[in-house]
Amino acid sequence: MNKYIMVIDDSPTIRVSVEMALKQLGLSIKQAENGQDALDKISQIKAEGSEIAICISDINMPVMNGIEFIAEFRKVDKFTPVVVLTTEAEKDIIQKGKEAGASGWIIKPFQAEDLLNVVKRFVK
Amino acid sequence: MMKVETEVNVKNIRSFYTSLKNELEKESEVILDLTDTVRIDSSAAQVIISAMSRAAVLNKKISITGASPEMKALLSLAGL
Amino acid sequence: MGEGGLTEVFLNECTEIIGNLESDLVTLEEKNDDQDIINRIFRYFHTLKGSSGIAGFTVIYEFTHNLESLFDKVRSGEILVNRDIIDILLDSIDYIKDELFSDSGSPESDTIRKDLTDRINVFLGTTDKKEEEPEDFLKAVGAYKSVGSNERYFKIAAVFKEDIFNNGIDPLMVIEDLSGLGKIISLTVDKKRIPDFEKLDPEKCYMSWDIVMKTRFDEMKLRDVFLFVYDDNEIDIENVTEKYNVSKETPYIAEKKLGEILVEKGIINNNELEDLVRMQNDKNFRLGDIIVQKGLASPKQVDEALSEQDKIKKKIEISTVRVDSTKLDNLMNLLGEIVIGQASLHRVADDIEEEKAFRLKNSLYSLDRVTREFQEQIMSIRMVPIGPTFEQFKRFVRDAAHNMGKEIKLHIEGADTELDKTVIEKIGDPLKHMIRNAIDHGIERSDERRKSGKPAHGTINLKAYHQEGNVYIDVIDDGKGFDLEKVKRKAVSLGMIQPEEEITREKLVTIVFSPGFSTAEQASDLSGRGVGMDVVKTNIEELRGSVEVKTKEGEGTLIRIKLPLTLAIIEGMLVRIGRSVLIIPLLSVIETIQVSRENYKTVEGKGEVILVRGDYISLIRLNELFGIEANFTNPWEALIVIVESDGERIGIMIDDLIGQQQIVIKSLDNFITTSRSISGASILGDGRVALIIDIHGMVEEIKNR
Repeated sequence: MNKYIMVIDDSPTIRVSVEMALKQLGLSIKQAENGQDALDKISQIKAEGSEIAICISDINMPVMNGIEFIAEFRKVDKFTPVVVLTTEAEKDIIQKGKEAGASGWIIKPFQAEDLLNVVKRFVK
Repeated sequence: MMKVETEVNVKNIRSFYTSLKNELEKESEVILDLTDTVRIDSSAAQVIISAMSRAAVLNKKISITGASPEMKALLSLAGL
Repeated sequence: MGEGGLTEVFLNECTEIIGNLESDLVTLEEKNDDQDIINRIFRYFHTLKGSSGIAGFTVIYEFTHNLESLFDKVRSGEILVNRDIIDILLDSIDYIKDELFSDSGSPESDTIRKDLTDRINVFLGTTDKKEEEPEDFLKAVGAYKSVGSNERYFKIAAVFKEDIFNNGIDPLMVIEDLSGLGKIISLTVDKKRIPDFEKLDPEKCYMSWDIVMKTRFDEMKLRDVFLFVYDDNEIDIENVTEKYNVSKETPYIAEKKLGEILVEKGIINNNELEDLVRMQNDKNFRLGDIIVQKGLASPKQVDEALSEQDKIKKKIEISTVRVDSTKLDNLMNLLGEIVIGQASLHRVADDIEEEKAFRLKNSLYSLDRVTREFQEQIMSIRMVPIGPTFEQFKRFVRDAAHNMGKEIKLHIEGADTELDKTVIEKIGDPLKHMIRNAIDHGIERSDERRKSGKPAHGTINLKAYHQEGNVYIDVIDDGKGFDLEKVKRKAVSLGMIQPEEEITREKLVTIVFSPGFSTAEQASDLSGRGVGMDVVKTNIEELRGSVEVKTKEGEGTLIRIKLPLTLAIIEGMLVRIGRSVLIIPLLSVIETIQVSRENYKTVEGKGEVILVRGDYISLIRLNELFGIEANFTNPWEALIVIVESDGERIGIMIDDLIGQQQIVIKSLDNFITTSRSISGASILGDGRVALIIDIHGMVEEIKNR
């Protein structure tokens, strides 16, 4: 059974940097451009019999933003951790994220090591 | 003897809970075999804790075997 | 994919975003209230900022941060879209393009960016405030040095909410992370909240933990483990280092149960104990029997624990006795006599024939050991914690701050630190004075503090700790520090220094301790009445302590008092001048040297000086000071003891060095002298009286001549 890290951000730069930072965890990584794209890819992954280990999601995205994504995701997956990517200015977003079911957050811009440490709090 | 999965966490806790419940009903002693288990979470710990209290009331016994050193450390942090 | 890969991804992303931005901005100029476009543009800037930060383009990151802030105001309707705004935004995009894609990066790009930033700031209503982060001064001088050793003890109580699993969080993982920071001393999982097995909802969390752990990390680090659960769950972290250290010394304050003793010895754990106690209640067995029956401990282990329990009971019965403190003083004096008696026996042993001397000396050495232990015991009886002294200042600070219209918090650390009873009695006034000064002159009014970016309320830290056989008390305020210019002006006007005199910071700070010095422009209710820091200094020197000040303008002041553990005994250096024996406190002694004839001279206005390690230092002749006879009158024939007082070195001329030993001080209160050069006397082994020199007092006395 494959385990995936889902990286959701509209910026390819962020997606690639997250992927680079988390590569050493040895899990498969799947990128999505927004919440809807992520939900689609997640249902594909689950249909294959694989599992999501953790989602790393941006907040501010077109089509479906991060908060909406978490709420939708929780309808199909109650317990998988979701780490929110946010900026200093969005700190009140953290509360909304938590209410929707987010697990943790990291403030952008971040060092690869910091992101890795946050993810390691949830994935052992 | 009840073989425990590689990982028991809140995602598969219901099935673990049900199996343990069945086992406890029919056996007077349940041995949880953790040989293949690499990780448990709080939900698994509290199911085991709760089952042990239940077993004591029924004059039955639940014990744990085959835990790796890492698992032992985790179990002791969970109060087991 | 390497780092180059990320840059490539980033540049591609920028090309796309910039293209979209340009077209959206032009559209916006026509349809200036189109919310969709506005939101989209905001997101582009936001993304640009995030990506440039990640990709390491710091300049672009900072610049786009400003653009994002500007456009946030457009989005909220605070700034209306007009030509000016669109111009700035388009110019900014041109700049970003230039910065990212032109081959060499144009040399004027810095100027262009600065201009644009200025234009943006006009709209943001901010000025370029890039203040240098001030180096944390108080930290630099060690004001926040941890008390005692680096090992800290924390008590952590964590109760997690039932639906925490729905946030993808496993509390056990959090506890696991916590355990990685140190050593778990005790851990109890509260099982009471876990429902009966039959009724258990396995997808809800009922676990809570009580943990005591030992770690070298600080509370912040522990708190960080709980970062994502801190707000929504009941997490309580308490620093119990002091409690724990105390309870280690006197672990048996209350009666202990057998189970607790076994847990402490690591024979059973807390959870096992809980089960056993439940079983004990059910079946009415003795705990010891159950433990042995269950095979958790051997009968021998239980017996040992039981006898320990017995001992503890006995200990409690004789816990405290009240005694008159003069009895303690008498005891100390008598001990002094014993020490003297021993010293005289040692002298006798020196004079008798070898074999008997050997036996006598052996007996004397073991007697010495007992006496030393005896002395330590008596001293420990005299030690009392400084806590109550500190506590009384809470009210004082509150009232005094209130009167001055200031907001000040008093923070106390090391309340358990023990000092000699006499020191505690005498330290109150000087401390109060220093706190007064901090309230009066140190900490600013709230409005002033806010202006300089400090928290509205000031803080005074009172801290006591042991280090290297001394007791330290720190009074730390985060006020405005000494105004050294003002100190200098005042010192000049008082004629203490010459206007043109070059004077170091350290020297200026010490001037504050000179008699009659006070910088308060206006005398307040509290301090500034001429009774100033000089009194503080004198008081502390009477306790054979010293004061050290570190101050930084705008950031605060640290006053560090160093005190001996006890006043009754000092380490002294015995020196001979003519037929007299004098004692120099070893604390003040730096070294003993011989000086050559060329390195000695007489300087107009300064008297006799000698050259020591490149510096000329004053030479003092004790024989002249005390009117006694000396063998040597030429410094190059005599020995010179170099001592230190207030950071200044002084040479003291002596005939010979006798040795060093612990000296039990006899106070000279009822004796002859009013000389400040003498702090007391001691009786030597051969019955002679030796005077103890007070170095600070002596230097003062010589200066005042």
